[in-house]
Amino acid sequence: MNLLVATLLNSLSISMTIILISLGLAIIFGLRGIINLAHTEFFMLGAYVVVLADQLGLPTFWAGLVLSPLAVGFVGWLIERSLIRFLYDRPIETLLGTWGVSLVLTEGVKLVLGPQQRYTMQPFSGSWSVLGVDYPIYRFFIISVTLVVIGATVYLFLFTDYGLRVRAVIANREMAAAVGINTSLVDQSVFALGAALAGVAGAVMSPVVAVNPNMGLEYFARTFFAVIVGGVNSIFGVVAGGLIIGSGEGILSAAFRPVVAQILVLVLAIVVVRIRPQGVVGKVM
Amino acid sequence: MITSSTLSPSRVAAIAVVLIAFAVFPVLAGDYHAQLMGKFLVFGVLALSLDLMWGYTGVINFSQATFFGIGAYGAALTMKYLAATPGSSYLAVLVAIAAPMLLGLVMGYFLFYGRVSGVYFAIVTLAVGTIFYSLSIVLIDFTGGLNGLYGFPPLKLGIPGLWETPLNLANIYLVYYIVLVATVVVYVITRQLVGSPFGRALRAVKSNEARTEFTGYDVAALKMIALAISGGIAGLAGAMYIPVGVVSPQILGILFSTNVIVWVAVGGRGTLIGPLLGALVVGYLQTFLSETLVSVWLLIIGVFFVFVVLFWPDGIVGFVRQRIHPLLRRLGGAMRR
Repeated sequence: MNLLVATLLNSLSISMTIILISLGLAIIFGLRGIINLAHTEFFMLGAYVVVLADQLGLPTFWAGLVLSPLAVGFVGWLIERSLIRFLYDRPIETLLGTWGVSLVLTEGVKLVLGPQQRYTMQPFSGSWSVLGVDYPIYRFFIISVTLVVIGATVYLFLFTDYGLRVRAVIANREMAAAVGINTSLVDQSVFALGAALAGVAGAVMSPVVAVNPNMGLEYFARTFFAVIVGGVNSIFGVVAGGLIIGSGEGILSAAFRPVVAQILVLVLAIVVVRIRPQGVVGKVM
Repeated sequence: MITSSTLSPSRVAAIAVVLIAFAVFPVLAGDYHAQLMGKFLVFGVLALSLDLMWGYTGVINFSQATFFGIGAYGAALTMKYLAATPGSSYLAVLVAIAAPMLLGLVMGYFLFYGRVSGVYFAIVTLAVGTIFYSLSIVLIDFTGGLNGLYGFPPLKLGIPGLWETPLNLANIYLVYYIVLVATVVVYVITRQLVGSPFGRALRAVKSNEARTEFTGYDVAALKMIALAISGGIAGLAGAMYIPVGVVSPQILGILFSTNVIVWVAVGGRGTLIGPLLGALVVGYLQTFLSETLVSVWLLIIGVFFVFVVLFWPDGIVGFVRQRIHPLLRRLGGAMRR
């Protein structure tokens, strides 16, 4: 019983973490069909913003949480303007270009802030008891943040004027431009928004991981698989993908070592991609 | 496109000069540089194997180093367990070629026939790289874990039972010449391959997959066979790496695969000679610069790589063809007058 509850909580926690990191990637992918391989480095930058806020003596975690999306969103916007906009409609080149960006961001951070591990304080410690299993409060916080972010993203894209414009551009770029939508501005804003979401994820995760320049690599495969397993044209796709990858890892971790569980999850993900290349969830957004 | 059919006298002379230069290089430069150049030639073969997929078939593989690493581990493990068997060195090289070929066939069959292509295939290759990297660490009894494999008997050249000589750093000149000959042989065979009807079909796949399919080609089969051949060449490079490098999880990983992509991009994809050149140039630059610029080296590589992707898609070879060749031709014309 305890094992079951612990496994379920772990699965939920890992799933929500993966969804939180992947959401921004899915949004960018959904708009222009490009995969930003530097996405997990945006996540890494988000975590470093909290570390820096800490060092500057700001009210630590909460300041970092607010500053992260702004700072990382700005970095994302700069990269969209200087690189990505020249690569739209060339998916393979985008893959390579953003791969280069991820290398630059990792090494840049290593150079400026050093390669060592950094830690930030958890804003609250302690644990709650769920059916006899003690589970850290902070994990519940991560889960709630993810739910709020999913809700806000769905609202933004499905129920606002801005979302309508973005969906118009996805549906028909030329027609959208013809009716007066600034498509370039939509591209920029969606890319910056995707990066900002990675920033939020990095900030929220910073207290429970070792912050270092290579931390993106650890989440790399899972993040990208959550998006393509779920289906690339839908916010609900990435939620489904995150749940599949996260629960897979949560359940397999109960039986195997974490490394082995991650290997098995990746194999599972490859099989799912093979069986359903269009993703588990169809087109919704 | 340089093809084997256009062997003008001046080109033959140029090739002869380059080959002689490589042949006398270790004698002039010494042991240390023989080892370095040998290693970079091995990397060049690895880069060439990726070029067959990326440059000619239009399929980007982010885990080319996985093939290389499986080749190296395959050969090393063969030597570790079967060194006493006569001819084990040749068996080791066979394993190094066959194991990644098999992986290429399995990946190709599983993915290409399932219409997993383009960016999706690229993401899957990232996962494959991650999986094998993790496996090489987890299977510690078998692979030596993070430390890698060492202390196994060296590969040997010769006739089993009659005369054999070990291929290790004590014998670095011999290693260098074997690597050099293998590089030339792989280059010539691959050159023939891309010029053959099969190679033309691959290029058709690159330029338009759907149209190639409609003209009656089995595109999935073409890509699968190309991936297997590419894997086999990378595996051979892995076996040749044993005398000049260390068999550790790093050579299986995504970061090492990134290097391979950089070599191909810098040298010029779709040229075969470019990736070879790219590996030599980047490798040597890294060696000379890294003493003073060790901390910024990867940053420079990253910036340079983005630059290459954006502005310089044909790399060094493209640059030479577009800028230097016309210049030489004009120079030649002026001298004739």
